Amino acid sequence: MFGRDNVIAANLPMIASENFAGDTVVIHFERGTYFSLRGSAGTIWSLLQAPTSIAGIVAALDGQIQLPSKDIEALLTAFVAKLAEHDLITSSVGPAEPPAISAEALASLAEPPNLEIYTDLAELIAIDPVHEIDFLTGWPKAPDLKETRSVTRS
Amino acid sequence: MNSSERSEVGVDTQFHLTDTFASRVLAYARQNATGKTNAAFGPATLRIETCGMVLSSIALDPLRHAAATPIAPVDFQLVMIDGKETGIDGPALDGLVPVHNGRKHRIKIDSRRSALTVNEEWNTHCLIDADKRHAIVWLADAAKIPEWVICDQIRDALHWLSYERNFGLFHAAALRLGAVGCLIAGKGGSGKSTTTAAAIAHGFDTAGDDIVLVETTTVPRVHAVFDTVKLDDKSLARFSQFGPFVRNPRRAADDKAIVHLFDSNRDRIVSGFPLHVILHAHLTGVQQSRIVKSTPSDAFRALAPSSLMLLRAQGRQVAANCAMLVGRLGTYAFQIGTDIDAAVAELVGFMHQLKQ
Repeated sequence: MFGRDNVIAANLPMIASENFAGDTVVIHFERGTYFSLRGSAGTIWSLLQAPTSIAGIVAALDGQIQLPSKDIEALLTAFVAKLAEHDLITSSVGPAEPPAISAEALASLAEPPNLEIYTDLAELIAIDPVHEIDFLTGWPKAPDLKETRSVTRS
Repeated sequence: MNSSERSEVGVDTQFHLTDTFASRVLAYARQNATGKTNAAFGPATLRIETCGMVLSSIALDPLRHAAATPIAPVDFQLVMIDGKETGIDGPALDGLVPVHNGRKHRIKIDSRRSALTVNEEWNTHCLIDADKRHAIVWLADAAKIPEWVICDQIRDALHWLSYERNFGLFHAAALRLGAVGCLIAGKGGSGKSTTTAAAIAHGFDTAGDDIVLVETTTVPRVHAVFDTVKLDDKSLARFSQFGPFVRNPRRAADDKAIVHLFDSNRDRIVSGFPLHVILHAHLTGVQQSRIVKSTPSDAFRALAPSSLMLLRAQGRQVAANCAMLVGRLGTYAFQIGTDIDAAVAELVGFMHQLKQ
């Protein structure tokens, strides 16, 4: 559970997400679950692509939409908790940046966040999870030795 | 489908084990390969050498449609060796340092772009060396390994190659009628294979019923990887023309019959046709079939997770390729009913409409 001032961000190493005109699909590589984020869920998700906090988002939205700040915070807290439950967000060490919010994003916040969960392939993927190889380095990636050794020790 | 595959990992920081193994296998293959082919899959050409008679048949027969001239430029070499038939042991693993809990299965070896995958369930080892542009697959006993495990090695080699090229592999069937090409996406059991078999019987061309290679260029073009059609007993009875060509007549009760289109319908396995639409298939249980407009996100949900489940690596690139594809193609839901002839008739009508 993340508090209002915790710095959080999308759990990027574990997921891929693609946005299709208001329907964002997120896939978790290790759990094999995938999700549709509709309504304001996609907008909130887009705000979490860089390190931020619930408090930061509330501050950025304050006065820009009709909902009172405490209602926005309650909505965000509940939705962030759902995302965390599914390992889609994680705590971040980066500085919490105040998110930039477009007019279109503001308009979408009038709708409730809708997170639809698909588990039909989860069991099959979890047996042998999808692993990521650095896109720029290519296949297979020349490793970060420090990282490899730390994994070895664990 | 490699749904139950599980793998283990280790690190050979000095390369001694893996280099010794690679040298030995490559030298053996130069002298003793029982099968060789240069297989062209559109933008990618693999040189495949096999050591072992059983292995050669299983690995190379599904690729006869892709045979290229022996002097064709090769992007990557894949050597596959049957340990039992050749007497060559796999690389000694006891010198490898485990790097994880057994769930992630690519290892990283120092500054070399090299990796070893060990499939514990079927006792196969795959050493990729990206710098030397080869992969060596050792299988303990090809006669005891399912055909799909062997074919997965070829698919994986193409997937590794796709990381640096403008193509991707997708879990889908591909069909062409006239000049119109479509992908049919959907997880296992959604009707891709049966629809493909029925469509072939009705005059369609195909680039495969399960895994296809698509160029991720402005106009996506699809290429056949394997020429295999897999049919359950009901479909085999329904499409009896495939019966004489079944490769595994003594299969287990829950295994599908394997037919190579190169044997049964050589002119129907085609490569390089442009794609226009993607249909995401599911079985409805009612008699009638329908094709209705859907959204790119619907198509993405049908295509991306199941492609990831098959390919297991480079997840973000696979997802991005799927997003690109559904963004460029028309997207439709194919609600496949119990009457397969009616389903194909629906598809024929839909393709004719698209042509107009």
